Amino acid sequence: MSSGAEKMGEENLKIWLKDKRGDPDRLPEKIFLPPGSRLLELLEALPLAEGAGYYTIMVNGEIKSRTVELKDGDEITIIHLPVGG
Amino acid sequence: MLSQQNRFLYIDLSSKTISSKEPEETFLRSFPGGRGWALPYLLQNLEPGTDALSPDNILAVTTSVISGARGPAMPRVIVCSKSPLTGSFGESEAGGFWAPELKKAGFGAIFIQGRASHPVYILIRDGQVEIREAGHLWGLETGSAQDSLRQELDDQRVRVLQIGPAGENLVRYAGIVNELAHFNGRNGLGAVMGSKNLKAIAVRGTEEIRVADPERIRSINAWTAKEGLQKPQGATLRRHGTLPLVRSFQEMGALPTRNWTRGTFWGGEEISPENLHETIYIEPKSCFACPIRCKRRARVDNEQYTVDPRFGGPEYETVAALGSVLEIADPYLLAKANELCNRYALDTISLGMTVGWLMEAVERGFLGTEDCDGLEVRFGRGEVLLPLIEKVAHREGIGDKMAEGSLRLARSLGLENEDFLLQVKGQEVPMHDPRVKTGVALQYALSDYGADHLVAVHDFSFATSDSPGITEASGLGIFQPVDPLSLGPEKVRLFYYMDLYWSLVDMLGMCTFGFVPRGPIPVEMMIDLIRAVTGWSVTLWELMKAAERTIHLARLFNLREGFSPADDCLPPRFFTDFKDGPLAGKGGIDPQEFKEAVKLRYEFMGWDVVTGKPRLERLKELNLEDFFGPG
Repeated sequence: MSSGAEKMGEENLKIWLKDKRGDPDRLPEKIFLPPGSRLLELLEALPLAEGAGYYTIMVNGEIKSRTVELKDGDEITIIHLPVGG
Repeated sequence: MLSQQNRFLYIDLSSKTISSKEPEETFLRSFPGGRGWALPYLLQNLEPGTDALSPDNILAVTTSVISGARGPAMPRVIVCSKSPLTGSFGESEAGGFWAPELKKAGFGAIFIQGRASHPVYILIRDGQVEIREAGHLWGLETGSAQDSLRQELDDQRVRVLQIGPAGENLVRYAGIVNELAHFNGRNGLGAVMGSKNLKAIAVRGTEEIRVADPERIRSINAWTAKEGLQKPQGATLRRHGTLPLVRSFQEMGALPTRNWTRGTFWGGEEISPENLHETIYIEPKSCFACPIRCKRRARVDNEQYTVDPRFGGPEYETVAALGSVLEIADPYLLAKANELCNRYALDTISLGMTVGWLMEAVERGFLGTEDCDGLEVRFGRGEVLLPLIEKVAHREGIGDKMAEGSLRLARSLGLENEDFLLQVKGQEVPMHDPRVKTGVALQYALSDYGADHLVAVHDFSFATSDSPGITEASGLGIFQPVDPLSLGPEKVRLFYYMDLYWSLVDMLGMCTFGFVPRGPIPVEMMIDLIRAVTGWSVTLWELMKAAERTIHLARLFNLREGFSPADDCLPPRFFTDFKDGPLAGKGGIDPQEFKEAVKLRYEFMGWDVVTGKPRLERLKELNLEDFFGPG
């Protein structure tokens, strides 16, 4: 986990994670990232089992590109999308 | 070598004549298998407007130039005909063991015409072909028929491709099955077999297929078994088959539920891969020479149901079509319903969607219990599922109308213009919501044989720069991520390339789950595999051209059957937003964007945007000008 997970500063974004893969212990409940972080940076910081390319990410319930900039309080849903998906 | 190993067999069941010929190698290189063998023959020998269930229709049971070699993910038999469900060109592929056996018996394809005066089966043993009586098999479900055939032939290794009672009774979505668990499910091609009084084709071959480079094939197989299965695609398929899609779509809010009025299912946990493995599944099974082993098998032995694993087990499409679409969450009932459909050889997607249509018609007051033989055909009423399957397979009561498919059922009741009919060109939609992946929207609309998901680009594979379509399939020429929800030129380009690529995979009898981005084997290795079998110095460009030829030929076939650009459409429900779950209030496809995307794809293909007809110069480029007709 990136150092952002442990550091909480006024300037950091607080991002809530909803791990929906039936593996709730793997990921933290929330993560802190520097302002201006994109979804891409968040994914690089997470221990995703099969590489980020195999997951679809929703930001506040919407399917988003990995270049989308995150906002404080954003809620992330991580969906494993396997074969044929 | 290739011409000898791919002899074309011609059987007229009316006159009981049998002949064969070796195709020329130049033909094989332009059309290496599957629909590439079927379409030229159909266009030349089938009169436009022929009733799909008449003796004049032609059933083409095909393999490819590479079938029968012991490579991974290439076991499929490709059946083509005019479809009785859609009235268009029809095609359906199945895995299993039958296609390699036909090759070992000395043939690449069988073209069947006419109608036997009474039930028959075809027996092919090492180059010898017979038409035999099948009166004693007619009416038997698939398990009993296979047992009986093997017993009378005194050969437990004979491979049986057959129809069940659904095909005999001309159910328009009857399938064809080999080894009881591998289905040519879609397009109703089992009914074409039934209309010819043809119960089965039993095959036994002992001749090993000669290949150009056996060592290279062995090394590709070894790679697939070791490295390929460690890749996420291979590992997931081995562990769960296609079932993880239940959880993925449920969490996204796009699991087809309650006839697609909802995107989340209250019974999602009950039909999750974990619960299905706990309740109904036993160890997986393989197709011929494939180390991936993605096929599921179900076994149930409780007070209510007994399910025989010989008939396989429900995979994602069936779990959704009979489960979430109908709001049925009982895994044991789903396993039994799947087994029953397989015993009768019925397409579970079309069946589930036809039942779903009926349930919504009842829920909305268009029909009552009295219209459904006294059954309470409502969402969540699992107790009606097995009786409805029986009624459809035997065309009893309401089942007789349901056996015609949802479009004809709706028409017969004057309800075809209501918004709850989900079909394209008469074929019911599979279980992938095009509102979250617009490449599937294009495929549903543009597929030459009605709504289909197998040659579709499944957009998430190309969604980001680290997606497998971008990182592992760059040889296909897509280098930048494409937004799953867009319908712009970049999406149409992606769809165009992937339509060619998956059509190629289908044409060669390869399995989409074998090759990137869906499966683990890279594009370059696929080309190597084809070279190693054929000895051709073939390129991806050449093979994609072969696939493109077949898309144009299928287009020409459909045009002469009266199809027009108006048929390249989507059900109205996909233009509306989701009503529940994470995607509530979002998702409806923009009709204008969709129309523009379809038009652009026509232009990419060189098709007239008004008539849909391929331009002569485009056909000349593909060496297809002989097929350019009037009109």
